[in-house]
Amino acid sequence: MACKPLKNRDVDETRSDNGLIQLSYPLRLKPLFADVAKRFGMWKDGSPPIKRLELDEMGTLVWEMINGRNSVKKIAAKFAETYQVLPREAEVATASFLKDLGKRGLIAFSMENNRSRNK
Amino acid sequence: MDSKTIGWDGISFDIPSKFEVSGIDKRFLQLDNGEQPCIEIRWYEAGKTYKEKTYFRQLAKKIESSSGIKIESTVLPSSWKKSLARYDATAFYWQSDLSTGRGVMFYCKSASQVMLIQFINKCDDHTDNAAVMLFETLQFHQAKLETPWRIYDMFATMPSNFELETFEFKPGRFSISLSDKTETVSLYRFSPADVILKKESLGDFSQTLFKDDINKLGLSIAELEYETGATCMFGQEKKPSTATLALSKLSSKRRPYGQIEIRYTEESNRILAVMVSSRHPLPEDRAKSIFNHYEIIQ
Repeated sequence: MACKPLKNRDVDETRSDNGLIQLSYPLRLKPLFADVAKRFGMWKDGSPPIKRLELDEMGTLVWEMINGRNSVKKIAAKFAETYQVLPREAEVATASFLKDLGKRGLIAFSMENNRSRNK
Repeated sequence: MDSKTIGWDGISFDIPSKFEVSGIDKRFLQLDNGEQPCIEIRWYEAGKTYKEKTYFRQLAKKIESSSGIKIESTVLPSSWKKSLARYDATAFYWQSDLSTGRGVMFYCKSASQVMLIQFINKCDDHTDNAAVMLFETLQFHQAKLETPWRIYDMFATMPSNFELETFEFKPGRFSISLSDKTETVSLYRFSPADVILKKESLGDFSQTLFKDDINKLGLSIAELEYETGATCMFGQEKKPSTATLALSKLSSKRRPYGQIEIRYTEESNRILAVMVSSRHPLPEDRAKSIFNHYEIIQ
């Protein structure tokens, strides 16, 4: 919970009229699939295919708080306050969402400040 | 010290507010102190012929064979003695390469339950105070008329003959299902309600959620909307078919009569639902009467 999520610089974000964020990011493919994708013309101008992810209201709130300085715990606390949910419920939901973003390669987690504090 | 009450599967107790349930199962609770799991509570039906030494020996053997941890009996810590005076308690400790723990086992004669409570890792003052509070306020409800179910922000009181069938505690969706010989009562709680109801009405939400039950029980909807909330009631206009009734007589698990009530209140920002299914015809206000004892604690 003390980890601080950081956004991947390759991810483009666009805001729709209703205030929700849409993320566009290069699809990570294994070499074999990348080769197939190239043959089918999915690889344009030397760049891999782009995947889009539309966040809902709650996902948008969490995404906006990712800046490398806010810890998962802090983001969860803000989530709990905004949506009037239980702190533990917010922690589980936030951690699970961030884990999913991490799996897609959209964010990374930093432990920098915690390490320097331990020193 | 700020405290809160937890009620689960036949027992209830108070615990300092900063402690929270982090693991849950039938007859089992794990509590953490905000940082890590530190208390485990298990309870078992032990009948009227409980023998402390036999039970402790069996328990120690079981744990040793499953985890290799050797459990030794020890003297009861002085701070626990007063609060455990009403029970014949056996204290124990264990040590593994990774952690240590101590705990206590005791028997409640009136409820025929054996209680096993252990405190993982070093017991600091906070955990010790929590232990004393837990021991002093612990109640067994098996022999009482009603049992409190008080977990996270859900609080319901149900007759003690209702036993836990299933439960779910996922972010945004909590549910507890209880049943006796003739009736099954399921309690639901959804959050955050304002986000859920931004795109659809309470009626649409509940029709999607209970789609299968509505079809199975042949329920029809009545909706009420008011300034600070809404209510949806699903009831049976027609009697279940003769074939359904005949089948329900053959199997006690078939419950052909049913009712669902869903409520949303702006103040709590939660959606609560009660679903009742029964082997016998239900009074019109059955779900409503359960709602009289089911609420959100803020």
